[in-house]
Amino acid sequence: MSYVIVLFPGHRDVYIDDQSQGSNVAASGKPRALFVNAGVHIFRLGGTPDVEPPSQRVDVPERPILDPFRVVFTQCP
Amino acid sequence: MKAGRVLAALLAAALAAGCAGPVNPPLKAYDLAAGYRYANARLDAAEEELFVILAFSGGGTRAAAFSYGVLEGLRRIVYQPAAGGPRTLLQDVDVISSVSGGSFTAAHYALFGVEGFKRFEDDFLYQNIQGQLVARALAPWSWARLLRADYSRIDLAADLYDEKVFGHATFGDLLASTRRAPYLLLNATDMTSGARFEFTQDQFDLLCSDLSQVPVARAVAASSAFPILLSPMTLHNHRGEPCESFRPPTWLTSALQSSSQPRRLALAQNLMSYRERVAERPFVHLLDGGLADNIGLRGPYVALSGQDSAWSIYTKINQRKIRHVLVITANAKTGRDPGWDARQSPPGVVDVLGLVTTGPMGNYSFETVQLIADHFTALTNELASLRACERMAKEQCASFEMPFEAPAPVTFHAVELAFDKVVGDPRLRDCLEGLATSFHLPAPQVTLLRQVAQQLLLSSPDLRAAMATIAPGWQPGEGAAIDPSLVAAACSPS
Repeated sequence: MSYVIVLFPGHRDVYIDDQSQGSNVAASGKPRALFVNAGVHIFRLGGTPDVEPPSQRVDVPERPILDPFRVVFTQCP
Repeated sequence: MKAGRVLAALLAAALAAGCAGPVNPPLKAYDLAAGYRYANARLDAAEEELFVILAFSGGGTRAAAFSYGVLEGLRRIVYQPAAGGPRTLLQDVDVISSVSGGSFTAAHYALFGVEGFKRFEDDFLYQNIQGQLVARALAPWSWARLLRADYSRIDLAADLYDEKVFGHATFGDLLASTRRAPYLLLNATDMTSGARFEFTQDQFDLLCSDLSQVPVARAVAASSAFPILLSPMTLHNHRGEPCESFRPPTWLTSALQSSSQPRRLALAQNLMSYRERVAERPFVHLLDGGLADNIGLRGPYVALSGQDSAWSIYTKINQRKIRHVLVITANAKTGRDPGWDARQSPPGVVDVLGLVTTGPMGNYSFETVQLIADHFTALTNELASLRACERMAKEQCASFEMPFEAPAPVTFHAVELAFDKVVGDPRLRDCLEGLATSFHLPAPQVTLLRQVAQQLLLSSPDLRAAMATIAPGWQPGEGAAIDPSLVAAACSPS
């Protein structure tokens, strides 16, 4: 059992292993914590292909909800 | 001379019967949009905020009648959801996972719904299925077929169930049904790996096989192929085109790289062994699902605890589709003290065989039920700790804001129904604990099991607590009464 937040400057759909998990950002504008099982997953974002990296393979460690694991994407200039 | 003529006649009959086609035909093409998969079988619109999973254990007709009583009980729970008219809890069932005897009830309900209830009682629950199986096996016309290498006792059983119980329905028929049916997970055990084998197209992709053409009765027969009494069911693991074009789902590829998560890795390696070792494994032999998991909860546990499932609950929570998860387990295990320890002489061979074929299943079932309960407790505590932390921080600093948004608020509820939950009537409990594992029970015992299941469900403190959260306006009605004369009839020594 683990939790992740996916950081990106904007609202995007988060895909974990090609399954849509909904938006990375809540209505409040804060990053949204997502349920995920620990271990390797492929993360990518939907929408315009202006994301770096386009996808990333991440070995998610076990994390409590108070300290979610961070997966970071940046926006290409 | 006479014996020789009989043998010759049997051989001729066997040849005349010809070779059966593959039980599971090859796939023509891999297609995620086709076949019996969760996404194809369950429309998004059918999912509600409440996600209900039923798990039906093994135990012959005892388990079938007990799980049927649970369906009857769920139909009696009527509540008013936030939107729309009143509905029954039975209408909210999204997934039924089953093994062995419980698979008869699960498959019949998924195929025919409540409209098929009466038929299920007439065609299965109150029938002497065991006697019919024996009669077929002893019939001379069956001997010819049983001589063939590709036909055995389990095929005989599957044919009987197909004709008498399931009306020749296939998984294609199940998928084509427009009725709002729950997703059906019929579980067997792979003899080589000892792992759970489910009858879904996702699993059959790994055999390069088309589940749509497989009769549902075959899956039920495999799920209930009790060792020794019934032979294993054999499936083909196909090769050639289009099998070489198989691409595993992304979660499976990811899990194969998860060496830090041994359970996840083992699950993935086991699944991939069908394709990676297809040359060594052109056939797969299946036995009773109870050998891998006699409670039917291992498949749901994978879906409840991660993204490694075609119907991941984590994904549905992240998508904010569901707000309540309710898991109801109908566990028809028996546990009467056999009295071995009252005697100096050790138990005999039959007792030892009985123990080694059922004892480990019972222990493992207990662990699985606890695994789900512990998982729900951990999830609930995590979400509560986040709220508590935020509250305490705000008490110290009113302007405090959590740097991220909590996951969607979800409640998790587990309800286990089992004979050891019967309280206040030691005679009834002892009677239930002593019921046989057979495909034939006397009618009073079947009716009693149905009534006990309803009574346990409707009076369950766990269910009442769940309903208080799911539908705060719901009022529990009168519990289902158990007819004392029925107890006397069902429990009197014959």
